[in-house]
Amino acid sequence: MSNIIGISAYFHDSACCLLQNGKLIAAAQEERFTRIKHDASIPYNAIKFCLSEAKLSLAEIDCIVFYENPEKKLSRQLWNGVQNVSKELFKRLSPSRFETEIRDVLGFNGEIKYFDHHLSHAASSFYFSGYDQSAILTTDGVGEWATTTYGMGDGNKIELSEEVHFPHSLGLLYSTITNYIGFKVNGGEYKVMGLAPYGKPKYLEEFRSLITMKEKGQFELNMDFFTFQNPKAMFTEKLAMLLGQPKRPPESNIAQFHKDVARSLQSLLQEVLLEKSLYLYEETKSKNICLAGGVALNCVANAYLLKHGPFDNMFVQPAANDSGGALGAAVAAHYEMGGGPIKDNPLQHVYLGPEFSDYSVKRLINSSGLNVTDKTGNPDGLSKTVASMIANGKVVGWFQGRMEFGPRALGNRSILADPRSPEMRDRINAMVKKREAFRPFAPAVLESHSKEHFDLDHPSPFMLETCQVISSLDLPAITHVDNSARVQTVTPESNPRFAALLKAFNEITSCPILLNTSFNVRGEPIVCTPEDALKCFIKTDIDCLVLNGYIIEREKNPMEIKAYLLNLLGETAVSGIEHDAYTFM
Amino acid sequence: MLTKNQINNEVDNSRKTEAIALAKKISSENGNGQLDVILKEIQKFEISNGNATRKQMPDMEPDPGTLGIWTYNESDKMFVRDEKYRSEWILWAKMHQIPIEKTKSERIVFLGESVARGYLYDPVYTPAKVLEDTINAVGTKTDVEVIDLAKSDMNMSGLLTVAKQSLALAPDTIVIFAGNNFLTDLYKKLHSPKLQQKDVIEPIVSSFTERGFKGIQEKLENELEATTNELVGYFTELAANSNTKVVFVIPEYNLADWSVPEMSKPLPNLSGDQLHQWVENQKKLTQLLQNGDLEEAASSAKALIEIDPTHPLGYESLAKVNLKQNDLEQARKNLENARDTSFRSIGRARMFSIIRETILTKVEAAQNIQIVDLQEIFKEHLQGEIPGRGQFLDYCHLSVEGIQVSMGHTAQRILSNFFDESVSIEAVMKHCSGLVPDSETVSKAHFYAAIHNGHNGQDADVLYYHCSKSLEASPNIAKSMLLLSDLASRKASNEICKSFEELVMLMSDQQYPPGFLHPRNAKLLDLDLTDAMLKALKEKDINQTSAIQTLRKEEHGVKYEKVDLLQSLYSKNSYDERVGSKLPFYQAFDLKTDFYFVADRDFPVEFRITAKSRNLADADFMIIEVNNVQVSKLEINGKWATHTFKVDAKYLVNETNIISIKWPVNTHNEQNFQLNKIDHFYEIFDLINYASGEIYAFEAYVTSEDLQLA
Repeated sequence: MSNIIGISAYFHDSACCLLQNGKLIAAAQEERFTRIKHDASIPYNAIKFCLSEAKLSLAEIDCIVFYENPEKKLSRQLWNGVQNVSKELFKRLSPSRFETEIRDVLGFNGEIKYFDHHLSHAASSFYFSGYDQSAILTTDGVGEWATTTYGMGDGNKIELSEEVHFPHSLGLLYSTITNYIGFKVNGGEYKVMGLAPYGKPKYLEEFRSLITMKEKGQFELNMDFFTFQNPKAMFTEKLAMLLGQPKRPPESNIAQFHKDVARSLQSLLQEVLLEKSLYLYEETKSKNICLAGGVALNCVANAYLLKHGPFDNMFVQPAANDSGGALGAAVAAHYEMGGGPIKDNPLQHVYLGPEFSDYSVKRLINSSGLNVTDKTGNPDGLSKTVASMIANGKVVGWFQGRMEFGPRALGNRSILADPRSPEMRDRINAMVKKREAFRPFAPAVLESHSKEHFDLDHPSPFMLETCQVISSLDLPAITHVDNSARVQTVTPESNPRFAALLKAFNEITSCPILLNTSFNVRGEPIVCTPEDALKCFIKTDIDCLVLNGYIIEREKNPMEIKAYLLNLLGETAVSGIEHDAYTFM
Repeated sequence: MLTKNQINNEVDNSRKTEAIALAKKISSENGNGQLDVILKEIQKFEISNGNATRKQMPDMEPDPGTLGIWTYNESDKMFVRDEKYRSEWILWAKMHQIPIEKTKSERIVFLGESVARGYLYDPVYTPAKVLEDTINAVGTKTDVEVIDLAKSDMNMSGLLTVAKQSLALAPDTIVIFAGNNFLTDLYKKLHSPKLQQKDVIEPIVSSFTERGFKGIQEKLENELEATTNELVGYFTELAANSNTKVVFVIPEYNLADWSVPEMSKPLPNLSGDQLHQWVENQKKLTQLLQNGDLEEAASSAKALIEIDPTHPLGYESLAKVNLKQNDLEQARKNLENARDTSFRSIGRARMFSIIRETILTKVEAAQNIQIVDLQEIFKEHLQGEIPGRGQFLDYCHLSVEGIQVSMGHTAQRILSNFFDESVSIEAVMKHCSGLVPDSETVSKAHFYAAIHNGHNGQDADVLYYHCSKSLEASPNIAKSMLLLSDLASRKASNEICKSFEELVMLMSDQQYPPGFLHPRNAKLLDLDLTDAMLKALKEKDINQTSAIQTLRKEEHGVKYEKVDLLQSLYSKNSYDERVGSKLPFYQAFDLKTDFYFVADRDFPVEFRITAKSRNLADADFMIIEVNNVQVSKLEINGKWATHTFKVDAKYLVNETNIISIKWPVNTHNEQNFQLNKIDHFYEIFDLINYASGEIYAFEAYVTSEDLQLA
């Protein structure tokens, strides 16, 4: 029996997973427990959860694996330049920091392994892809030195044959422009992706001047325009001069210029990825490609690559960002230690977090004094009732089963609504999300019906690629301005309760699609516990909360006083990282 | 010839090579290399960020036109409460505007902390109101307005800021009633990342190296002395250089009825034999005191003081002996020593002796400076008895009697010395004793006091006292007590609960709803508090004991689901925090640690515990007791080990049970102070406290087999 814990930490989005004999038992991001968004600290709470889920103690863990090489990372940090040299800084940068925390603080005495950052990304994708062999492309801001890697996976082996090194980074390029457009780094990149369809690639030439394509997989950024040493800004004045306007102040008006910049950036990213994927194809001759790294969360680029690139099949690790590094590191260690085939290959779902019993939910509801409809023991009744509510225009907070691992809500910690309603996007924005109006919401669809409504010829269970909406139904709430959507396909095997709800909705409306957005308010992590969900429900204007089999309706429960007290006396959202610049220091 | 780019690339490559080499070197030394040398090498890669280096922000000069939460409105000639400070309004007097011009012939500005607010009676009944009323009623030569600028949670810098701002009101007299918050203020400052840690660490480490535990206490006292000097210096200079008169009211402390919090009494990290002696004496003490064996108890207590004179346990225990022997003077001294040595936890506001002594030493009573020393005043008022629950609601906040006495004497001092009025204290007190809040306010104050005492792990009889007083003042409080009993017994966070909502609405005319809240994931079960309320209610023929027991079982019963005993609900009975590193597991610093669990006598309960003890040299055993009966003995050493054991139903009681762990102590303990590894102020406390055990996981549940069998 081998019990392996994989950990990612110190950058942003720290996470833990537990692999037992090649089977993923549990995985979670620390932010969900601490309620500190992007929490980067050692994921002690997530570790404890994983152990509890596996019914193991620390003493039974064979190996704890860290998702990057601290020595290599330190060399890059030194080379990039350090500020305020002090004992404190040294402690933070020290290669022994992780080991000290795991041994001296946590008290773990077993083996500790390290794998390179991009290898961890690569492993997190390839080993869960279901492919026997595949090309692998990992792209992010930066790991140790590598920002992009090219490789090949075959059986239980991964070989990364080439790397692009810092400061030449597509992820940092994207984040820089995100910062320039006035959005927060490490979180605003999605907004840029969502804004792009509203613009034209008028500045593509200018953007092409920021990067020089080189042989093989290499490229270089023109460092006259970037200043990655500066913790407060990522670009020089030259960039603003190149584009003709200064940086947009946050929260100010988004003009057509900004949309065009976003579109130009997105086009450039797609161009570069396409070119490099051609190179990768030449090197590997594989029909399959596995993606990971933060840039792989750019589902528009992923779709473009699949459509226009040389690969027939694509797998993207759902936790493509640093939290997924924990998975990759664990699996890499598993194989290094002689482990057999991974049992979650291909990855069927990411419902790896905590779940809560009906008893604990009922207890919470009783304490709240809220009126509830009990549909426990009647799953059909639950689906029909909730589907009917959604069909009648209600916005529903849906809390079921085990929490998802990764940045997407996939039907267990989701806010659901009718995608056919023209005002639904504005309603949800006003109620809960307070997002910019241009950002689309995404759909979940029964896989059996997906082809009728979306230009998608394969499953897309993790919402990591976009496609065109081809439905005869009018779906304004989930259709982006360019007619695209970021789809999640759902099967009864992967998520029976969510599939049943979609089916019930289809039976009422002939629409097997629901709007699916993450269950959280702006600035907070996705809800983890029933109490988190209840607080979110009370503080926002969501019409209905479904906790397991219990339905709480706002119209049957006056909640103004509760909401007032929660807002007055409750906690404020906290972020675990700085957002002015990429946190690679 | 190389091009500029080529040169740059060369430099870059060379720098890269050096960076890789240095990283490798640091890594291979694995943190054991000489830090100075390493930092010097790292400095070669340092770049300027163009920003100011981190340093402590200078003290802000008061904003002109601002007075605490009030902002000056020129057209009205008033300071008016500013909306932008709305979240702070409840910490200050409920006074929407303050005229810049005097409205009476004499203006007194009243500054201070929560004790000066009349915390728990505020805003209905406050020391400032009592002072104003008394002076005006008893005095004949003048009329006075007292401008109440006291603030709950006032810190030192805030106090000085408001003092300076208050000069805009042209006060004739300034009263300063403060000193309780200085230690918590100091701890916040010492924890601050903005402070250069080396400025903090080096002096304390140096003091510790020379003088051991005493060195730390002395260092803290030096800081408190400096803080007090700064405060006093400002006001004495003001009095000397202007016509403004100054009164220092030195707070007193609830010596008789406020126990030193458990978090302030961890096992001290002593070496081998000393630790053994400490443990033996500590174990003996409880029994000796219970048996009334006072001589032996005194001897054990003195032994503890001898071993570690900076630890409160010896003094507290000796005070108990003194009280039983009716030696009040000695009891007082020992209780003060116990208070003065309770610096191992953040604790509550308290008046340290050094602060009082500094004020008394520094301030010479002069024509326009007076000291009202409440320690002496209460002593006289109580005819030598030690102040307790009669004068205090909790550790430092005054009861009605306490406010009457303190403000009565302050009024008398002002009248006699500043207004040249010959008034006796008897006359003043006669008037003061008639100044009482309405019964509803008294009732609520005692109710809140019960909560506050309960949340700080105080004795059950004190909690019961306040609950009884509360009901006595007004039976209307019964509903609030029932709601609070319900709220405390539930597992959900308070702010979610219906009973919280009802409680806040019921008590909507007061300003203490945050008292019903708790930090995230830190709710207490409040067993003693709830039991005290239920007992007091029962005496009024309101019997909800059975209902609460049922609720506790439904909410916390181990037969319904696995219960994590490390949650605060089951592992803590106080919100006090120990000063020290926060680790990702439970740490015990006592000989015996109690956890609560809710069960019934129908099923055995199984436990699973993962524990270790970092200070043990060899394997030893931890003794497990349930409800004071030994049920198991489990091996423990320096590595995490997991044990599962079952407790037969016969050892259980219906509803709340206690499972205790008696930790082994290493009688060959070596102190092993690695002072060079200290980076933060609080890490010093990791060295001086002896961690007797660590628990990573501790769960209680009824197995499905046992459920089925039943």
